[in-house]
Formats: sequence, C-alpha cells, structure tokens
Amino acid sequence: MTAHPEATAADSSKTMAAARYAGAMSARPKRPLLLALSAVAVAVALIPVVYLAVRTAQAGWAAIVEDLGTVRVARLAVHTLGLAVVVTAGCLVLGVGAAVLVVRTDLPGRRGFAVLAALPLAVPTYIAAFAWRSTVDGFAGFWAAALVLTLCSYPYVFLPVAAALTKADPAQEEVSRSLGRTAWQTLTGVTLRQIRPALTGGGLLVALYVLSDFGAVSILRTDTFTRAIFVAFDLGFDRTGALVLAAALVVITMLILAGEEAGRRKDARYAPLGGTRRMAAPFHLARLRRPAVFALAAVAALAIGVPAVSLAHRMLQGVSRPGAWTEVAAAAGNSLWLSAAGAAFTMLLALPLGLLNAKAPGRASRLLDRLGYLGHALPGLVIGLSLVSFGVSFAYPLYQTAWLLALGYAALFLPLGVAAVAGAAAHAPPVLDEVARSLGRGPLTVFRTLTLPLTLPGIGAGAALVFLTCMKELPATLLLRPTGVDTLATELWTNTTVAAYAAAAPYAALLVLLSSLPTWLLTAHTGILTRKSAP
Amino acid sequence: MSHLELHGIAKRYGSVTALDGVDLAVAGGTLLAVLGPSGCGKTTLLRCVAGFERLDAGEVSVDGRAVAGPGLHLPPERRQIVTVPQEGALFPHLSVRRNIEYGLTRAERRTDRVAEVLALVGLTGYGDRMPHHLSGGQQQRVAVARAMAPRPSLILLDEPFSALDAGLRADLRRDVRAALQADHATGILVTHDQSEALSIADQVAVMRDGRVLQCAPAAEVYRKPADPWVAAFVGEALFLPARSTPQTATVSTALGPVQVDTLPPGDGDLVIMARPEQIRVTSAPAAVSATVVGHDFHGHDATLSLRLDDGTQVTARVPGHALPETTVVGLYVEGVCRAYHDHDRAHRPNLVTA
Amino acid sequence: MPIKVPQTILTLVAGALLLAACGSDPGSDTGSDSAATSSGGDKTITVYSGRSESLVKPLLERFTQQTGIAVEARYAATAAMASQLLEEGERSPADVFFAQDAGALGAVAKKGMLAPLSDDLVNQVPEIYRAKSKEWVGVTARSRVLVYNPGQVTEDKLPASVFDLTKPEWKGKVGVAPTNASFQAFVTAIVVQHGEQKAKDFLAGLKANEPEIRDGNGPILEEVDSGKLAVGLINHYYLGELSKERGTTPDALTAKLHFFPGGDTGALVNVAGVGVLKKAAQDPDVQAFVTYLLSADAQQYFAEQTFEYPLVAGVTPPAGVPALAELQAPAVDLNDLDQLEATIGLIQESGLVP
Repeated sequence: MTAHPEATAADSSKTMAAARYAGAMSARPKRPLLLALSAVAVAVALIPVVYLAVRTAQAGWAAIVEDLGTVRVARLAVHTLGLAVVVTAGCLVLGVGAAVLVVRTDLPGRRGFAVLAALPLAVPTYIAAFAWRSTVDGFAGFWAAALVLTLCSYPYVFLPVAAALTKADPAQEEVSRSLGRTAWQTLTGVTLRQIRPALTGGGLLVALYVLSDFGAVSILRTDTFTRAIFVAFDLGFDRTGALVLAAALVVITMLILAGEEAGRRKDARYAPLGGTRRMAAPFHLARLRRPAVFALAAVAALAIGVPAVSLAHRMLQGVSRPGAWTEVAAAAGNSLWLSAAGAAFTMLLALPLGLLNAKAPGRASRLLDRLGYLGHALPGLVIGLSLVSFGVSFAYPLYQTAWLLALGYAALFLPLGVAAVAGAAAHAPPVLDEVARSLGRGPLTVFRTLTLPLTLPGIGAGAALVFLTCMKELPATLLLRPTGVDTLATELWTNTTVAAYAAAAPYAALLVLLSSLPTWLLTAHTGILTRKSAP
Repeated sequence: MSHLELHGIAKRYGSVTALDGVDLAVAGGTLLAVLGPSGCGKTTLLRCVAGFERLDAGEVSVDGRAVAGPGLHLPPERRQIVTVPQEGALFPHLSVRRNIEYGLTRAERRTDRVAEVLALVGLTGYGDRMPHHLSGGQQQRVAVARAMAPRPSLILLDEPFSALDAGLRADLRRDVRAALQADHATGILVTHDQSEALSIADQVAVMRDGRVLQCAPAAEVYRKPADPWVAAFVGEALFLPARSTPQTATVSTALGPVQVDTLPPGDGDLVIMARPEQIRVTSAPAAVSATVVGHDFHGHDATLSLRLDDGTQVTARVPGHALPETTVVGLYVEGVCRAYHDHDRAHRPNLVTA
Repeated sequence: MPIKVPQTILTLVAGALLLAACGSDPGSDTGSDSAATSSGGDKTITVYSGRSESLVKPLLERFTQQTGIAVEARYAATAAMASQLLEEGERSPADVFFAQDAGALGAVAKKGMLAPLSDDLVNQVPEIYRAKSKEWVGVTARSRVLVYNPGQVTEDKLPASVFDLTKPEWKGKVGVAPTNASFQAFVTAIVVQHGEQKAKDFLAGLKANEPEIRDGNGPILEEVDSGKLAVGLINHYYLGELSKERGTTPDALTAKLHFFPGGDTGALVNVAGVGVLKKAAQDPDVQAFVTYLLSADAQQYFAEQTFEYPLVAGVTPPAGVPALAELQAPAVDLNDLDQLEATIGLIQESGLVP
C-alpha cells in the first residue's frame, strides 16, 4: 500500500469490500485452482524439510534422543531463542523508532534518513560481523552477535512499519489526543496498535532470520543451533548430528510460528486498516530535533559506516587484488542473473500462495502459509545439502544447474515473496474480479488485465526483496551453484578464506552497491519517499 | 429486453440456509428491487444470479435459457449478467473510457457506445479521467455506465447508492433509473432502504430469512403488504385490533369503522394496519377524540403521537405545523386499510403497534 | 513525475521476472551438463576442490594450458565439499576430490567412493603422506605450529610441548580454532599417540585455561601479529598467506612461528591431498590431472604460492620455514586420523565448541 494519490481510490474501495466480505459469510470464494497451485508451491518449497524429516528419522529414535536430550542442546536452544528474542526486540525498537521519526515527525532530511534506514538490508551479516570484529577488539559473543544482527535486520521491521504508518488513518490518533492523551501515550496506545500486523509480520521475519543466520553467529562465536549445525558438518562431516540439530531448529520455528499465530488471533478484533486521503499532522520534534537526527545518524553509522570504513581499510592495507576486472564483472553478472532466477522462481511459487491468502483466507491458506515459513528458518547449508541429495536422487538433469539453486532460494525465501504478494493483492480485491467476470471476461483475462497490473508493483517489491536476499546468500549458493559459476558472494568468501581481504573488498563493495538499488526500490514502495513534507 | 426467472433457488452455507426456495420473475426492461434487512439473503441472491455462487437447488433462466440449475453452472462471464457493486469497484488503473470499454468487444469499442452510455449517466466528456479523480457519485455513475455498455441481459445493482450522502443519492437514483429505462435494460437492485426500493423500482420483492415474502409493484407492497412484517418493514405502520362488522368491507376499531380491502380467510382475532398518513386529524369534533402527547418535526411534515381516550396510542402524519401537547383533536381513518389475523403479528413484538 | 519512477520500475521488474520464470530455462546458458564430463577421455574433468579457488584456479589454468584438458571446478570448504560428495554418493558428477586435509579424504574413502591410485603415482610421495589403501595421496604438507608475538612472549619462554599450554602461565593467552579441521586432526593425533584420556585431559585443561576461541586460523594469526593475542595454534602456511596479503615476506611480519620439537603432537604434519572417484578411475584425463599435481611444476607452485611443503623430491621448499625433513614431527600415521567420531565427541564434550 502506498500513499500515492492514484492508489487511494483503490484503497478505500478495498476497505469497503473487505468490510462487506468480512460481514457476509456468503462471499467466501473457494478457488480450487489457486488452492491446488498453492499446495504445489508449498510442496516444492518443503522438499528440504521433507528430506530433513526422512534423514532425521533414518538416524533412529535412539540416536535422535541421545543427540537432542543433552545439556548442550538445551544450552543451544536457550541461546538461539534468547538471540531471537533480543534481536527481534532490538529491531522492533530501532525499526519502529526510525519509522515514526521518518514518517510522523518534522525530522529534517527525512527522505535521506528513510533510505539510510533501509540500506542495512544491502549489507550481508557476514560482512558486517567481519567488519565489526576487525574494528573492535574482542568483539564477540552473544551481545556482539545481537548487535550486528539487529543492525542488519531492523529494516525488516522499518519498511513495513513505515509503510503502515504512511497509510494509517490519523483520525483515531486525533481522537486520542483530543481525549487528553499525550503524544507518547497515543503512539503506544493507538498508533502502534493500529499497525500491529506490520509489527508482528516484520518481527516474525526478523526472528526467523536470526534462527537461520550463520554469518554473524559464526564470526562472532555465538553458540546457536545454526552455528552448531555448521560445526557439526565441519567436525568430521557429521551430517546426521547436524540434521538432527536442524530438525530441532524446525521445531523451534514451529513454536515461534504458533506464538505469532496466537498473537494474531487476538489481533482479529481490530478493524482492518483503511486507506486515507489525509496525512497525519507531523509531530513537531522541537527540542528533540537534534537528538533524533543524531540517533538516526548514529544507527546508520553503526550499520553502514562501520562495514564501509572497514572494507576501505582492508582494501588499502592489503596488496592482493582481484583478478582481471572481467572476473569481477562476471561474478557480478552471475550474482545478478542467479538472484534474478531465484527471485523469479520464488515469486512464481509465492504468487498463488499470496493470492490465496488474500482472496480466499481460511484455515487451508493459513496452514499453507505457515508451512512456507519452515524453510526460511533453516540454515542455507541444510537447504543446500538436502537439495544436493534431492537433485542427485530425483532430479539429476537439474543438478548443479541454476534451476536447483533457484529452488533452494525459493525454499529459503518463499515467505518474503508471499507476504509481498498478499499485500499487493489488497490492491485487487475480489469485487473487481467479479465485476470483470460479469462483464464477460474469463478468469485468465481477468488475471492478465486486472490482477496482474494492479498487483505488479507490490509483487515487484517482493521480488526486489527476494532478489537482494539471494544476492547475499552464501552457503546454499556454494553447494548448489552450477559448477564453475562464481558469484560476488562466493568470490568474497573464497578470498577471505585465504586472508586476501583486499582482493575480497571490491566484491563486497559491489555486492552492497548492487543490493542498494533494490533496497531503494523497496523504500520507495513504502510510499515514505513520496509523502509530502511537513507543511 | 430480456426477462429473468428464478425457480426454487436454495443456497446453504454449512448449517445456515441463506436462500430457501426463492421464486422471482423480472420482466424485460423493468427494474426489480429486492428489499430486506441485512442477512436476509438478498446479496446471496444476487451472487447466485451473477454466477459467483453455485446453487444448491433451483434454476435461473434468462429469456427461457437456463444459466444455472441442476448440473448446470454457467461461469459469470458467460451469463451476460453484469454487476454494479456497492462501492462501484472501478478498475483503478484504467481511465473511465477503458473501464467502460472493458466489457465491450473489439468491434463495439469502435462504435460510439462509450460516449452514448456516458451521456446516459450524465458524464459526457469524462472519458479520459482516472477513477481517483472522480467523486463518489461520479464513480458510481461510471460503474453503471460500464455495466450498461455491453447491453447485458441483466444488470445487478448491489446497494449501489448506500455509500453516498442523501442529496446525492436521490439525484443519482433518479438518473440511474432514467438511464436504465432509456437503454431498455433489465435490472435487479438490492437494497435495505425501503424508500429507495419503492421510489426506483417497477416491482419490489421483500425478503426475509432467505424467502421472498411478497413480490409486487411498489404501491401494492406499500398499500397491501402480504403480512404484518412486510407492512412494518416497508414503512411506518399502525396496528389496531379490529372486530368484523356485518358489512364485509368494514371493521370496527378504536378509531371507529375502517374500510378494509378484504378480510383474511378463516377465524381469529383481527388487526388492521394503517399508515400514519391515513390517520387524519381534525379540529372539528369527530367520532373519536384524542390528546396530542408528542410530536416529531420532519420539515416537510410532522408525526404526532396521540392518545385515545381509552389509552391507545396512535401516530399520525400531518403537514408541517405542530400542534401543542395536550391539544384535543378528532381522528378518523381515511382510505382502505389492510386486515390480518392478530396471531400473524404475535411473534413480532418489536413492530410499531398501536 | 518522480513519484512514479520506482513504482514503474517495480512493475517492470516484476513483469520481467514473471516472464523469465514462465519462459526459458534459467540454467540453459551456463548450467553444465555434469554427467557428460564423467565419461573417459573427453578432455574434460570435474574437480571438487576443498581448497580455495584463488590458490587452485591458476594451477588449473596451467594444467589446461599444458594438457588441453578442460577442468570444471567446484569450490567449497573441505568439510562442506566432503558432505556434498557423501550426499551425492555414486551419482556424483565429480571425478576428483582435492581436499584441504587427510581427514576429509578418509571420510569419503571410508564410504568406498574413491578408487585406488596407481603405484607409480602414489610412490612419488613418501609413504607416511599417503593412504595405505592408495585411495588418496598427499600433495602438499603442512605443520601445526604455535604462532607467537615476540613482543609478548620471548623465544626462551616458548613451551616445549603443546601440552604445556594448559599450564597456568598461558591462561587467557592462547588462540585456538576448535571448529577447524586442522585442530580436529591434531586432537585425533593426540588420541592416536597418547590415548583418549590424554586428549580429554588436554582439552579440559585448555578449556579451563580460558582460551581465545576463533572461527579460523586466519583471525588467530592476525591477532597474534597485532599483539591482541600472545600465542595461537595454527598451521604454518598462514604466515605466508598473510605476508602475501600485506605485500611483504613472512620474515617481515611481527608474528613468528614456533615448531614444537621432539616429536610433540603439537607439531603434527598433515597433508592436503587428492583422491579419484571410482567412476573416473580409468579416465586418462583424471590420471593426467593427478600426475600433474605431483609434477615439479605444480609442487613448485604450491611451495611458492601457498608456502606449503612439496611432497615430491627435488622441489625447492618454501622460504622462511625449516625444511620438511628437519621438522620433528610426531610419529602419527595419517591413515589413523580418520577415526573422527570419537574426536568430535571429545571436542564437543570439552565445551570448546557449541
């Protein structure tokens, strides 16, 4: 949803349609085709999880119990959940804080800060963690990893919250203020409750991302499941042990999803958000102007400045250089097209699932949506290995082709795409389909002439997010890429493993740079950049 | 100029029966209003006719050709039945012209049909506007024009005026009716607003709990409601106990003798239904006197609350001059009233009663 | 209108991606048909390299130049590469596994995936640096060392044995990378040389001494060089890599290497080696590749570029370190280092790793 004037008409009609459809049980389209396609999409994305279940079961219950029922696993679980909680809380504070400042106040340079607040999305955690470790002595452990993960992933909260704040109805806030509540009470009591779906959605993505992240926890030595899984592979290639740990991670993911589900039920009593033609009057920061600017600048400096300076320093310090510029260009080209293939495939799977969620909400669509999240919390290495096994056994012609890698990306990042499609589908409410059908157009024509053009910007935003996440992905890419194909991420990895940091720096810089464009698109899509400045 | 027939339409959602054997017929070139409280099944009826829902039983036919029935469910796009939803639902990315062209064939697009329907809804020259540059009423006009453009067999209007403010609503209602008539279009309008239904439609079907209680011309529904519930739903109604008299067309009530069209068959206590405008107030002495106990001023008229000497309360609609309370007036009933058995309204305690 | 730009781009992006997804095979232009490379003598081989691309790629290019045999190479960490091979099993597209350490080769060999190499190949390498079963052969050797910062530890204070690092004077001063395969091989060597109890005691003592845990040898070396750490357990060639990155010689770095004397387990000499997968056993191209790795040309390359010890006679050893023959390596048979499971258990129990 955006604040573009041309969207408001659609928004308000959507709201009315939603209210109408919510009220009447009469209008619940079943959409068997969409359901079937969604089931196929989820089945494809769950291939790694199925493999994991089969392989874990093969280990035998005795081994599983022995592997899991240890103090070590309990400790890992506590650390993993602890990290997820701390980082999610941190991201909510940073993301909401930045979004409120950028969208709802008279902050100077708010567009610039909006872009800066989204930009950490372009920085892979392994680059950030590496930069921090080489900048700060003894930077390691739980809190170090929590800091780096928070700085890298708060845009997952910032972007949806900023978008929701841009379109949230200011009327309720005005009522609250007129009833004598302070600005702060109104923010926490009314505004944040209004945009709760954006908060929980962003928070969920962060929590699951923390579960799957390897870069920060390994470089900063925080004992989480993901790190233990990688170590298990490293130590004597203990695949079974690693997979049992991964299965435990899936269980934790289910717990988090169930928790979010329970919270969501409570949300149900809130009325759906409507579009508005009116902007909330910006809050005048007054004395808080300087501290606010300073705080946002500081976060940006920590999240983007530290990695940038560290990379520059490494580049100047070393003498190693990347191969010919053609190699760098080739890696960049490979990154771009492999990520594009990954994004395209992911969005293809996400399309029916997102549309199903938006157009035929119900138990089935909810279940399919939740299942799609399972792969998102698994480390890339596990997804990669399971697809190696799957590819070799069942899809040999696809093995070590971009197809299987695209499948890996889809298994990892499907929820990002689904959320985007579901959000975009709000621009094409079912009532438009019905009118078009009644005007004599078949379902395919309706999809082509209405659903697609109306949802494409939102789908494009989802694709941009998936694309840039694919760009940063490393472990699954290493295992699944076509033989002989190097990407920016793999070149970065290959050079850092032999201490050729200066040679690695251009790849890192290019990776961040190329990821910045989709990040800018995402920021623009929230509508923050086009919102009128404070009068 | 197509005509639509519905036979025994039934639709259930789980244990809830939304439509329970609905029979309706709409003659070609006329407009039928389906009137009922929310939840009565009227929107479901539209959706079944449009083809968005599958029937559980019954048949829908257009010009004698079945479009839905046992083992038959033509998809919406093959029915030539077009909907105008409550909120218009213009395609936001298409201009007014492209919206209207949406249902036209390539050949039809080359004719001046778009200009024609735009003129019919009073929006000549608006073809290149985008929907978000239109007011709510204009959007609704475009939605109607879009529905008329392909000259469908039937146009379904689902509470198309309810989101608009009152003044706009009356104008638009009149214009839409005129446009439909000029185009000889057949239509069904769903509404919960009785004045809208009565003013716009050739025929009014009153629905409740998934059934059609009465389907008749507007005046007949108002003056001769099929039962007390319909009577109370389509307008303000007074119910007074009555006794039959030797004359077949007259009954005796607290307001004196009242003419009725027919008496209900069978035995039982009688009740008559009178509209407040039938209760005439005179300053001259009359058979029945009453005391003014309150009044509601409406501008064009006013309603008086009156207490008869025996304690019965009645309401009368009078021209806009108010009478002070405690004024004693004479009352009589003008015109023909409707008589029912008292037990027919016994289960509707919330109705306006005397 | 600047507002529209991102929106339009997003639309185009989404459209292009959908077209790409619906349309052509994204892998058609680059996806290698791996199956084809496994047949013999087609002048193409597939190498799975657990060694870094930046080291191996120039060598492969030289090989292709000299022999006309194209090499398809996959790169990943040795452990991940071994995991991938084990997962692939018999259908692996790989012809050759070029691994960073003997343990990974042993793990793959144990699954029966490697073919014995010909005698004239393996005989070029001293017996202690190759598999008894001839399923793999060492290509280069590296020694475990203690790297130290002379500013913090003088030469006379250096421990005589790696086991001394559990003594109180080293508390909080030792950098270790317990997740690294080389560390793990070293612990296995303790078990082989001194029995499991000794290994357990060492790990417990090390843990109790609050070591500085790092995720690899590189960071340990950097921190020792900069003085953040006093000493660390690494492989000898890391010094060469870092000096290369800094554009100097190993001697010019602050950090110095200490080779434990007297056959101490801390001076374990391990190898990077190569094995041939069974299906490629008869492929002359694969034979040519293994032959090349053991040729003077390749061995010289390793000595100069990776600072590892060449294993074939008559090649100049790397500068700045004692000759391989002068090292007082422990009497540990590399073939025994594939007894990994017990070691992993020990390292995990010690609490040095998660």
